[in-house]
Amino acid sequence: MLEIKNLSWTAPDGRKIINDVSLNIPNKKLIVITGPNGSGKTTTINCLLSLLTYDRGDIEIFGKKMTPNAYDIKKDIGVVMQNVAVFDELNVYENIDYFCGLYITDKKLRRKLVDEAIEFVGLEDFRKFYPKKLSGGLLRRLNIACGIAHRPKLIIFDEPTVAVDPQSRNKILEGIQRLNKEGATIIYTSHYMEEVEQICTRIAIMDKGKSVAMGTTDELKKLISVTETIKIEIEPLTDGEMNELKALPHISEAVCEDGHLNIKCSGGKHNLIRIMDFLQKKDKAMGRVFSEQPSLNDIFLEITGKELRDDQ
Amino acid sequence: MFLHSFKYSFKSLIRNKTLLFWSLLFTILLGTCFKIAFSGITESTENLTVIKVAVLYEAENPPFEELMTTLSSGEDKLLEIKEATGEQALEMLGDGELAAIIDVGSEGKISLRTSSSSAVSSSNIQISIVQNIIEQYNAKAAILEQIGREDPLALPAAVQAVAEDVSGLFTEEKLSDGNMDVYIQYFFNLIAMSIIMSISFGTTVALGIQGNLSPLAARRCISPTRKSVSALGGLCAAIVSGFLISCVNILFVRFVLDVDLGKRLPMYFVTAFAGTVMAVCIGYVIGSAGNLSENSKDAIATMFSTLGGFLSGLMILDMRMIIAEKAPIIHMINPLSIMFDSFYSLSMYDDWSRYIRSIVSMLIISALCFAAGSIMTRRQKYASL
Repeated sequence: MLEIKNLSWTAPDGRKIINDVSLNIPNKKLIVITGPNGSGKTTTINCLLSLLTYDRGDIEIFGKKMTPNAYDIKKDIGVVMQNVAVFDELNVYENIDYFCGLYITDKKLRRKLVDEAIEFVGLEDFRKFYPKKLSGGLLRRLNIACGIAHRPKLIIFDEPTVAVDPQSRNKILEGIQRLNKEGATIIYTSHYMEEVEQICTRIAIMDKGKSVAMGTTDELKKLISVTETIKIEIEPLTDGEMNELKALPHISEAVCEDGHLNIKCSGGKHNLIRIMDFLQKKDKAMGRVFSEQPSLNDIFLEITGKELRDDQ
Repeated sequence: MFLHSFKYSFKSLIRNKTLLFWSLLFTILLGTCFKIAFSGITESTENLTVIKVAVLYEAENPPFEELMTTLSSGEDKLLEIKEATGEQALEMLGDGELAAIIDVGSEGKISLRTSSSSAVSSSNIQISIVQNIIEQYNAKAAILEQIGREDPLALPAAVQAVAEDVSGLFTEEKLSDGNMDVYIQYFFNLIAMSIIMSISFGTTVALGIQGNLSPLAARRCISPTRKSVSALGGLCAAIVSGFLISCVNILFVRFVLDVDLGKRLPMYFVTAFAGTVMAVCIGYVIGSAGNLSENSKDAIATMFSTLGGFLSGLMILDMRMIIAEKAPIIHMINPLSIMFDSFYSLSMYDDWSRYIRSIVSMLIISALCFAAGSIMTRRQKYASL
């Protein structure tokens, strides 16, 4: 469906923004490209759409090479931009009709598709509204309708939920999943991990212009060192007891402070039972016990690191 | 696809409040201000045709007195003779109340005294008129003297004939049927300015197809519609919107402000159309050129129209002539001057050649700008977004 091979792009100021990125997205899948700010997600999308002229690499969509004049490929692609891209002077219906009309010439078919798109994003009551009269969430939904009205086979969502309230965000994410179920291949970029967890089937993590990991959530969990985090409310442990605890198998880190014992485990099974058994033998009084699998956020932070990126 | 692009570009341009303000409302407001400001001035300029003089007689000179009476009587009198003694006359001349003092000498010699400070152009013209009258009189005085000596009875008729001859030199003769009021030129400039505002329409169209300048343009660029089709639809919509607005402005100036634009009003619309095409194409080339941001290109378009308006005399009427004299090339290529010339020639000249030259100039500029804009847009590859 879509194949990116060894894609590189250098900014006019000489910075290498994308460096040898390769991605393979199968038909009818939903893939999330995630990464810190400035990791090259949007630039990759722009290269993919031939908006940017890249230095090196190959991009194939639907088995054909993508170029600025590949109109037969473009007609089956829909894009929802990071920034809202609609005409302030056209109302909701006119905006969707305009963008749909760039793909579909048959007026009767277009009218049907526009009505379906309006219904899909839930803007039936706002057809005659101008964008300035719409709230942030409704505006985002209009932006989505403009990108998908022509029923594309490949839809690219570039951070479509930025600055959107939770209700609208949920509605948008449900819609994206529905589009995928209806047969569209979806590329979704975001750095909101809870969003990514909610919708993804496959994830590509980009950092510093490179694709650093790709796979399902379970596949990515195997790439990181911490597999389980255990938290126990407990009375203080002595240094000797702490050393004994750290010597147990699969424990990579243990800290006891403010009445809480925090333990990170790397691999292994039944870590919690083993730790509880150890603490009971030491006759320690315990309160609540928590055991957490690593979240996507943990995976993301471990793979990409914790330093701030906007400062760079 | 062209019609689709045209339809929505037209809707979006004609509903753009900022563009509408500058191209329509601003023109209407400024035109109204011009009308209020210039209606008083026009009346006062008409009164300047009567020249105030004092005549000081050293000796009696009946033929000259007869001439002065003729020139200072009737509805269309040329002179207004102030009664004054020598000292009073000098004082009045010094105060600028008189254009000149006419001295009638004892031997029939007529001479003129003017103030050394009469540098104002209108005063100079008046002095020239009086000077000419006196020269005419002196030249014919010998003939009158001879008639007086040989046939005194024929003298009054001879004096009358000479007076008519002399005053006849200064009767008002219109060069054409057009409005000769100098302030009409401000309205020509105003209409030209309203037309050139369509530059912004052209710039908007060009910016709308450059994917690196706005998300909206990027969305267009990734669609299967060719850039050239989008651009052509947008440009046609810009021309139609700009032309309609220009027509409203012309009709407002003519029928609401009641400014006499001459008998060839329909041809003003031809100029408006050619001017709108030119303005849109100039805007298109500004919008397509270079890698400047959207705001910078908008600023250049605005600066271009404002500077063009200044150089064609919208703010200072004499500026047009100064530029025509000192920088003729700028005058020749300034779109506003070209449009002004076309309106001026429609209003002032019976001959069509100057008007046709202006229209052809506009079409040539349009073609060059369209070609340049199209080449630049086609070749664009975005280094960054």
